[in-house]
Amino acid sequence: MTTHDEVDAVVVGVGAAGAVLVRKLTDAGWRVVGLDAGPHWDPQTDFLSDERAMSKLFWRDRRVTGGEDPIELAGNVTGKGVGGSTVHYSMYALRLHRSDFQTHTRDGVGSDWPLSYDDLEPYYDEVEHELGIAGPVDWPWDAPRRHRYPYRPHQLNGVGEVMARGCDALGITWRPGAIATLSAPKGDRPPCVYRGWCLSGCTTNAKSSTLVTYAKEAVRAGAEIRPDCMVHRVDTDATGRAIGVTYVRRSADGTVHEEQQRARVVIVSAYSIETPRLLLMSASSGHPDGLANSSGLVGKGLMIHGSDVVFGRFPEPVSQFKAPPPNTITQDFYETNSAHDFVRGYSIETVGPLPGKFAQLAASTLGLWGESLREFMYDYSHYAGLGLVGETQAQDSNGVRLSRDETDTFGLPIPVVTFSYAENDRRILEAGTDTQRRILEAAGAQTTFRVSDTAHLMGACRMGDDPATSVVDRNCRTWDVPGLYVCDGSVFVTSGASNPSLTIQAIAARTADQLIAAGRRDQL
Amino acid sequence: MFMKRSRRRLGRATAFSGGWSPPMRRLRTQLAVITTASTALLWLDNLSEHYRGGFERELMYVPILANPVVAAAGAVTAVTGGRRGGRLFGLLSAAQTAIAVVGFVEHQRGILKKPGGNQPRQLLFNAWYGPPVAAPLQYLGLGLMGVMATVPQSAAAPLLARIPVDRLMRAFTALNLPPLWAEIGYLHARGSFQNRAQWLPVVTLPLAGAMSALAATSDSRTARTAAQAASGWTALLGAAGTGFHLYGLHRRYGGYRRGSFLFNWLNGPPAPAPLQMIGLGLAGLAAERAVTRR
Ligand SMILES: Cc1cc2nc3c(=O)[nH]c(=O)nc-3n(C[C@H](O)[C@H](O)[C@H](O)COP(=O)(O)OP(=O)(O)OC[C@H]3O[C@@H](n4cnc5c(N)ncnc54)[C@H](O)[C@@H]3O)c2cc1C
Ligand code: SF4
Repeated sequence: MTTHDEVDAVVVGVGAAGAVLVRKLTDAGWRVVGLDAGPHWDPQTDFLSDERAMSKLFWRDRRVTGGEDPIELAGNVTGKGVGGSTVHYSMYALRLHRSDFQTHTRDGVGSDWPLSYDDLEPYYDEVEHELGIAGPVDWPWDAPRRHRYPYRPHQLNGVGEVMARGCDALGITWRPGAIATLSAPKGDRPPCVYRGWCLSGCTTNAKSSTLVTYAKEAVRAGAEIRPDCMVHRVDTDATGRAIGVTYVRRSADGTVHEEQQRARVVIVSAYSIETPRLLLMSASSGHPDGLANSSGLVGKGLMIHGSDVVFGRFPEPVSQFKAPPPNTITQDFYETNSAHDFVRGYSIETVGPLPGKFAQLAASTLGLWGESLREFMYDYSHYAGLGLVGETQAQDSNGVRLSRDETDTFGLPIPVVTFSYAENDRRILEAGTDTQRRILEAAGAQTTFRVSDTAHLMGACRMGDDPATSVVDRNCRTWDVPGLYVCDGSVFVTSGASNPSLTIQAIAARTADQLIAAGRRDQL
Repeated sequence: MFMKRSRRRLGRATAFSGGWSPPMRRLRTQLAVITTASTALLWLDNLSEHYRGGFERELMYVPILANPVVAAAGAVTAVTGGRRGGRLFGLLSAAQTAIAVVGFVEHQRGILKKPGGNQPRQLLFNAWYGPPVAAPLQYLGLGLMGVMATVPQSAAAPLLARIPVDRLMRAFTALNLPPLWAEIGYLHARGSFQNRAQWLPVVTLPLAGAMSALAATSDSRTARTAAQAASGWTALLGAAGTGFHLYGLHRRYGGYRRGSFLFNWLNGPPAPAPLQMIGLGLAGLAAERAVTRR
């Protein structure tokens, strides 16, 4: 087995969070290695305008899904490769609201975060700048922003116009969304060309995935990013300190080798399924229940967003495939409102599936096939879809554990993911989809249909102030294992009703600063 | 042969040249040249924008079709030094100002018709992606310049007796700059001033405008220097802006490559737009040269 010399930090998973950490730590003079289970793509040569072919961006290793409302895990729910899920995500770049950090205090549900909005605000500003987020001039929801978005909003696309018209008719506030694709050049990255292939990867680099932003800059700054390295164990020494990771590396010729990377600090950023899986797989005699799991909460409290989509058919073509699908948003229903039969709330956003995905949704929801599906698809450009981002509550019964009998190609136990909505989650879903339908009808939809869907994973290694009820502290340091950090979407305490990536990246940017400061004090 | 004929022609006073002093004649020819060139270039800009807007309304064809006629009459006027086509050019230029006013009104209506048009907070957004607010006023300016280049001496005399032509042109420049400035400002804001140079016209045009306006009130030597500086700077900005816009096209995906160029031309920084500033600046400089004072 090859053992690589000790570096300052090894980051497992170079996705939304991992890439931010690798770059910021490298900039601070650390020697950093980023390991990612997937490839290091070059968008200009590796990406195609082909929906099917681009499923190569998805994490397609076997996973088992269960619970009353099983999450669709076989599709595009997470990404694999440098850039992680941001390579094919839909680019809404939103902040959580202030209330999201205190749902227990304010609404009596969930738990409060150990961080407040004010703690994250400078980091939201920072990552918005680094990514070049294009957003509206004013953000009418939550408390006012301190700074304007760095780039101006994109124009409305067809679906956005529909949503805006419907909202105007109903008196709902809408805005062009805050989106992670450039509306004007930034460095060597060009502005978006509005072809709408964003969920299949972007060939122009306008999309601010971490692949073409943080990860690229990290490599330029001297970081080493090693693709095709599947980490399966965090190694600890006799004192219980994390000293590195062990991984299997797939070479170009298909052969597989096991290697070790030693590091002063190990940061796991593999997202809400693979992070708990890795910690659970790292069980040893000293940690029989998995690493960092004295609370028993590793793998528990997985959250998603209720993401049902309502499509409406319009007499005139809407061209839902044109321009990035993320376009227009309302957060009028975000906060707890005594007039509702639920607490917390939801956002509504435009979507715009490409024909393949749309056909798949229509086939499975409306039971169309063959001739009927073909007839239906002739109308593809007449449909506009609005998606929900419905808050869910963390429940310990939802989560990730290791399969006892099934293993993957490397012989590693595959993850078993369980999810069921809570009653409050369901009410949000019902209310939200009703609003989506009303907006479409107010805009002139002749018929509508609803597709159930889920998106975004959050939680499963939550942060907190108490080692008994959380896995990491407010700085993403595991309570149990010195030198081991968890920093990605899995540290979320509540889901909020905002797409999570920007918050994940803000937490990563903050964690990097904390690490740099701790390193100076020699307290890593 | 040619010389002979032209000398014969020169001898005959036309409505265009009749009664004007030689410097004024030269100025009017220069104005005709500048107006014609600017109009033709504006056509390119106008065509790109209206094509991009998909000629959604039939009215959008009007300037596209009218402009070449005006430009053609202007070209004849310019080439013949006003001996031919002058009157027609003048009339067409006057008509063009009317088209400009209609266009201006229609552009505002287009912006207000967009979703959220009744909410003041969405106005800027709608203006960014609606028909450009002040663009039709360029036609207004050029129409007026066409009129100035062709108006008969008898008609212009009362006005020129009160305000000399250089000061008149300073006022004209000062009036042209605010809409130009506003247009550049809000469109550069849409590009979020990603290149610092985008601030240059936004910051300096108001100064040029103020200088021209002040200079319009005085015959002094300082006033003339100020007006020359303002016009010269405006022309320089136009040249630099064109360069920046051409560079901006190159920074877009695919840049000047064949498959991407049309798309980038339509959606990138409007390359011909800054050229209008060159025209305005040159017209100002020409007017300063036409008048000699002690
Ligand atoms: C289709 C889709 C649309 C989305 N749209 C939006 C949106 O519009 N807005 C938004 O905010 N969010 C969106 N998201 C969610 C967002 O992409 C994720 O929340 C975010 O990327 C998660 O960040 P992360 O760093 O935790 O994980 P990821 O970005 O997923 O990165 C994890 C990385 O770890 C690697 N990895 C995993 N296990 C291992 C291992 N054992 N060893 C080595 N490497 C490993 C993976 O290959 C991956 O690269 C979307 C997600 C999807 C899938
Ligand atoms: S629409 Fe824009 S962000 Fe999406 S793939 Fe095309 S260039 Fe990239």
